[in-house]
Amino acid sequence: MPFAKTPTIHINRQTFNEMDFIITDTDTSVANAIRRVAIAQVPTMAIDLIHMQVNTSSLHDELLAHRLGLIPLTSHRVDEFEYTRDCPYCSDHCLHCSVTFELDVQCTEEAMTVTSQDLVNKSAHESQLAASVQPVHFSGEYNPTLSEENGLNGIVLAKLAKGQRIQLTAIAKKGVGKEHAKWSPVCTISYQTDPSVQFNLNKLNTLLSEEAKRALVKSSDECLAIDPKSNQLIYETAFTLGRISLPLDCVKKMTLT
Amino acid sequence: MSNELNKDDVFQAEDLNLLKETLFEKEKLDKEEQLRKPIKSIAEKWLLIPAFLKLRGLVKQHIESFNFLIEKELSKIVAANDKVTCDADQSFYLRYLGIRVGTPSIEEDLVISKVTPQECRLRDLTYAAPIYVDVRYTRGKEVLIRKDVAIGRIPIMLRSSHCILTGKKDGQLASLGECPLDPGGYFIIRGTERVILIQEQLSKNRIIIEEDKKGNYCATVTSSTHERKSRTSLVYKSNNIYLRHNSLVDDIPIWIVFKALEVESDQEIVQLIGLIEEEYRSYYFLLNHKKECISRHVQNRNEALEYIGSRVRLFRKGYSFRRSTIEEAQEVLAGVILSHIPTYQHNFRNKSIYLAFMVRRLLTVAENLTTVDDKDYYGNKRLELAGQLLSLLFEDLFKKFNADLKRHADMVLSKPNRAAQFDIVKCMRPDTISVGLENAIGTGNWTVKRFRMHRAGITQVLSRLSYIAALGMMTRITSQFEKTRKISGPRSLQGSQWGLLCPSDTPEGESCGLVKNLALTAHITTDAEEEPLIRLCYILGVEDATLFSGDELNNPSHFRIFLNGKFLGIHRNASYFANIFRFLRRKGAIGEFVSIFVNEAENVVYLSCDSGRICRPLIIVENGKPKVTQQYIEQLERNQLEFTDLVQQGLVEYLDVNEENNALIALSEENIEPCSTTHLEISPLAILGVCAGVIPYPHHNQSPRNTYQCAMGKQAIGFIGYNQHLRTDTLLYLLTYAQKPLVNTKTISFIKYDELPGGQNAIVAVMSYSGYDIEDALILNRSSLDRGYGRCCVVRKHAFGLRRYPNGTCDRVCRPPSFSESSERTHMKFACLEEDGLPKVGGRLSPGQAYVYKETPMDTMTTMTSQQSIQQVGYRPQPFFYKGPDDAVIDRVVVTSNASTHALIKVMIRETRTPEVGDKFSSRHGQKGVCGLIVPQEDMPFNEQGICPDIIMNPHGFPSRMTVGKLLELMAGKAGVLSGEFKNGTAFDGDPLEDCASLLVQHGFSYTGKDFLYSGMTGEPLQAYVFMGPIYYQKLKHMVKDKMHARARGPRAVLTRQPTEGRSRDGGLRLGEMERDCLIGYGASMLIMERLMHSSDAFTAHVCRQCGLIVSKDWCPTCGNSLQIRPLKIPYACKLLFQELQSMNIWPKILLEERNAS
Repeated sequence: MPFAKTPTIHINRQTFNEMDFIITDTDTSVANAIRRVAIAQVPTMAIDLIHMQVNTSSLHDELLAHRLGLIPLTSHRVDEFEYTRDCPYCSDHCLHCSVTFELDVQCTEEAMTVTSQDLVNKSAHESQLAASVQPVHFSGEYNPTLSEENGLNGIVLAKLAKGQRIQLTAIAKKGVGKEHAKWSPVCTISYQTDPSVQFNLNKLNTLLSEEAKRALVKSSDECLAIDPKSNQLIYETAFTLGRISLPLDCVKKMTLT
Repeated sequence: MSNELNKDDVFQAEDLNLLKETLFEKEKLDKEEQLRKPIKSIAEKWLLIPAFLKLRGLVKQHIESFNFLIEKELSKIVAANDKVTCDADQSFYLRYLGIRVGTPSIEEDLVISKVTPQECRLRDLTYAAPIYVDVRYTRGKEVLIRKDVAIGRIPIMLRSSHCILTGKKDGQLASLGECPLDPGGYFIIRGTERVILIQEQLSKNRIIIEEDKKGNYCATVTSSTHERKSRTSLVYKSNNIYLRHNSLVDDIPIWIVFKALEVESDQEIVQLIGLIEEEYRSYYFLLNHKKECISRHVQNRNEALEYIGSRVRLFRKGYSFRRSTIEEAQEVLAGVILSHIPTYQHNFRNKSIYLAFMVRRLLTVAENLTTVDDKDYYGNKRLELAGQLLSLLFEDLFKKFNADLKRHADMVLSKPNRAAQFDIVKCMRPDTISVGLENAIGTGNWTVKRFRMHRAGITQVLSRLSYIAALGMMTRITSQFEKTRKISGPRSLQGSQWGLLCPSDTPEGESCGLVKNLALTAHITTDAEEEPLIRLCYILGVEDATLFSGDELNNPSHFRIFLNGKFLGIHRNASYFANIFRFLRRKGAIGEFVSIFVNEAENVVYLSCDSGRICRPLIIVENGKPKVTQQYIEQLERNQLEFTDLVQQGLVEYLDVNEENNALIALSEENIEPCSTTHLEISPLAILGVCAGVIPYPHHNQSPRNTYQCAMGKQAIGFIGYNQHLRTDTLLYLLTYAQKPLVNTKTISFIKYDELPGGQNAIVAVMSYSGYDIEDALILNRSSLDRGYGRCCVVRKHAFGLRRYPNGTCDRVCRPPSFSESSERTHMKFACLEEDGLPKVGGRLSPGQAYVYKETPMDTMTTMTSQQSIQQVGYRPQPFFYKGPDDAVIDRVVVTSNASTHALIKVMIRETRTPEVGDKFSSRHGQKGVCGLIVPQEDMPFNEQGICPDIIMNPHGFPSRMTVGKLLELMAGKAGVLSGEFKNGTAFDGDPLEDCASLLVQHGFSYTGKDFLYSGMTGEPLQAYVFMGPIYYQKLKHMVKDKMHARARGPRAVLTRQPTEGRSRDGGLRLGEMERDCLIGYGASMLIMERLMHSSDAFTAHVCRQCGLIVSKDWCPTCGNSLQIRPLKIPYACKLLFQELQSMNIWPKILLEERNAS
């Protein structure tokens, strides 16, 4: 790994739940390591323990528990939590290592939908840290204007018929994706390697005529330039710094000329 | 659909060209050419199938057959056996006036209440309705009429006319605990759902020419009437024809039979048979017969009758009076031989004509003019359904019921002085019929005494493994052929099964080809009235056969008319007759299922209206134009028309297998020949059945793969019904997140498989990975499993009843000791129980914990005198412990009761399982595989969008299996997923590959369906592009958790002291004969000794050296001393063998040699 320790990251785009960046001066293995760690080893919060008090819905307890576990929770302060298994403050679970949610819904109309919005953070008033953990009710691009009318409906947990009731306590804990996919912070993560194009400038300079050089520069999308002094083909500085990349169709164009 | 539209465009272009031509040449096309114009295809013609299914449904044949039994057949049976008389009192009689069936109900504590099917399932009851009769009978001197006397109870088929579910809307069904998608057509007997399978048989009352065991040609008829079934054959051997019948000891020369049947002159016989053109050998045959008659001294009728009468086999024993041989012969000829041809007052004319026709058919085969009949031809088959089978049984039971009544009446009325007046209605015991019917359906053993019929396995428990399994069972047909016989004929697919039976859906192995399944639009007929048809035939110019001489009968321009195998007469213009007959049928004047088949080769017209014929709807084509046009389809779509309307308007008709021979059926509009085509297929997809209809692109697969999928679809875990959580099945597998398949088929939507699916859409990458994917193993993505892929729920029923003992004591469920004792162990054992001795719903149950605390009385025998002593009886605890590999959850507890148990308790125990290594999965293309490895998501390959496959499948699965349909499913699925729609993979139709490929390109994917993947482990791009996309995968019921087994030590059998067998008994793994042979060959004698004796049933026996017997340790009773007794280690089974030999007076001696001192 030639540049393993000195990679540079250039962030192209970053939104609430999406990020696009270019990492250079490193090896694919490093990029892959980032990907793998993001999937498996970045801690987040997720519901892990359910105390089912009442469940008269048509879904089994286990199924409901599984669905609850998969609800993403905001985890930006996850580092301040302890892992429950090595929490120094408690033997079971406490505010330092867990957040308690409650869900208590009863259907009084013909039918209703239970969503992640019915989850109430019971630890919120006890600590600031616990209050930072909240269910994420939407999928896709975050939009601050989202409301219940235009798409912020929460994640569906169950549907109840008249008279059915769900009452439970859910305990969210810190964990990593290696243990269960519910702690995995990423939905999809991947990278693509940009092809590195190397021109054999020496050969080009000796073989090509002035005109051909000029044509090549024209079609090179500002990657190449002609040194005004020596009339030789040289790389454009932006290209050597990696600020611009050579689009693939550009290579095609160049081969045609 | 786009494909069809394109074709339309082409046609229009051609039309335009034609138009131009006519303009230039100013010539009119003649009519012929106009007819040759391609016919525009009827778009969405397949919509007829859902319309058909709405009318006839998938299980309508069962339901219709049962309805026919209840509404018509029962009254016929009663009418045929309507009188009970008494030998003792001639004035006594009981006459049945009518019969009807009530609504399903149960009687408990003398209260009759209505019952729902769901209640029957839960309470282990029988869903049955009472049968009421109206009777007129004598009581002493009076004649009384009693109405609504119950004579028994008949199990009611679900969704039949007498079922309470019929006509209910979905919401009402739901409130009755019933799934609206459940097809019905089965019975509920003591809580279990049982189906009467469709039985395939050779048709009755038809002449079949075959070869017998000795290779002689024979013409066989199995006559079947209400009273009697018998088989008559004519055998052609050594240039003679003989009559062979069970009731005759000997084969009788046909000439003698004819003479006995009042055809005495030889010329008349010859004329009746009619000579076949250019046939010389038959003259020899005639001559031979003449000779034979002379040699046997039979010249006239009396002699013939005498001859036959002396050869009648006597079944009756000890009959009071003996008839003369002549009478005997007349009786046999009239009633037994060819019993389906009625004889009125000893007029044998009909019978002789029929017999002559049989001879004629036999001769044509014997003279090699035609070949023997094909027994496997489906027109020669009849399918017996629940209605027919039950009517056989009911008639038998009803006869028995009447016989019992008669016996009772005889007994009572023969007594000289009786205390009370004899009232027969009070003696009617409904048990005969109720129990008889219930047991027959409950066990599947059909015993009909009068036909000496004994059949087992007529009914089967309805498989509720998946929705498809239940549906598939309702369309299953079993054949009566022996499974063990290695014959290919009845097993192979017959051309005549086209459109009627599914070509794919048959099991593998011994019953391959014998068990079949109905195709989607196949329909099985029920009986129709013969009388009006006969009248109609005479009106249409059929002339009574008895009016004709033999010569006229055999005139080649005269056609014989047969109705259901009975000879009606002849017609001089068969094609006219057939045409007008069909015309009338299309107009609705004749039943839609009556078939007419003109056989030009035999000069016969066969009409049939009997039950069990298999037929299918076809679009009628007239003058090269299908009668169903676009306009009708549109009306159908808008629900303005129904399928029956199309039949009534004569646009669509049903053809049975025989009539199909007179039709030219075009597969599609392009294939219509202007002058000759008579019918058009509705849609080619209808040749497949329910199970094969689920496969996408089946026409691209190698055919056995489709067959495998038909078998596997039934094992797939999925949804069972909307009421799945209310049911109490012994074992229920449910998939938690079942999905609609991305690649749909039309059949899937017809049968609502998309509402109760049995699988999930998985992203599959076809590549090699890790080596744990060899031999069809699959690699699964752990994160996918975490997110719920393949997660299923297994619910098991643990049921038991609380018995009441003869002395008044009974079992009880009561407070477990954990509430009074404080020991840790008891608490652990009964942790799941509540104070009433029953488990808490939702509680977690670990292996070894009790799920019910039951107690049985210590004393169940001695009679208790008072209530108090019953209460003083001690109780013995009998808790039920959960034996499972893992923790489970109590799902439901049902406490109820029925007539046979004091209280019935059903505990449903639920387990949730995620897939693990060794679980079985399959796609819809007969490609099964077990999970070989579960890989964390970060190690899985991924594409540039970050998509990881859920499943990795080894590409070696493709070349030898040739399941191209699977590749197409992947392409279509990927296109569908990208464009956000379900794709269509219907058989012989389906979205074309080109469309899917262009969709892929539109969304930035390769048209090949291949993706550029990176290795999840190294991060490097993979060397090749990988074919990746969604494929519908089914999780099959075979899971390692249910199979995993190992044992170090454990229970042994009592008798042999060898380890028990089987997983359920925690048995040992057998070191069998072949394994033993290996060890012998290798020479590992000590290992053999260890495996076969020390680790199994080693036993120290004591042997007396003097007598060689196994004796006790210190005394030999044979020798009377204890001097020579030596210990010896032998297998216990060996010791047992010696002792058993001794018990048979064999002296097995064990000779011992003293071990050398060294």
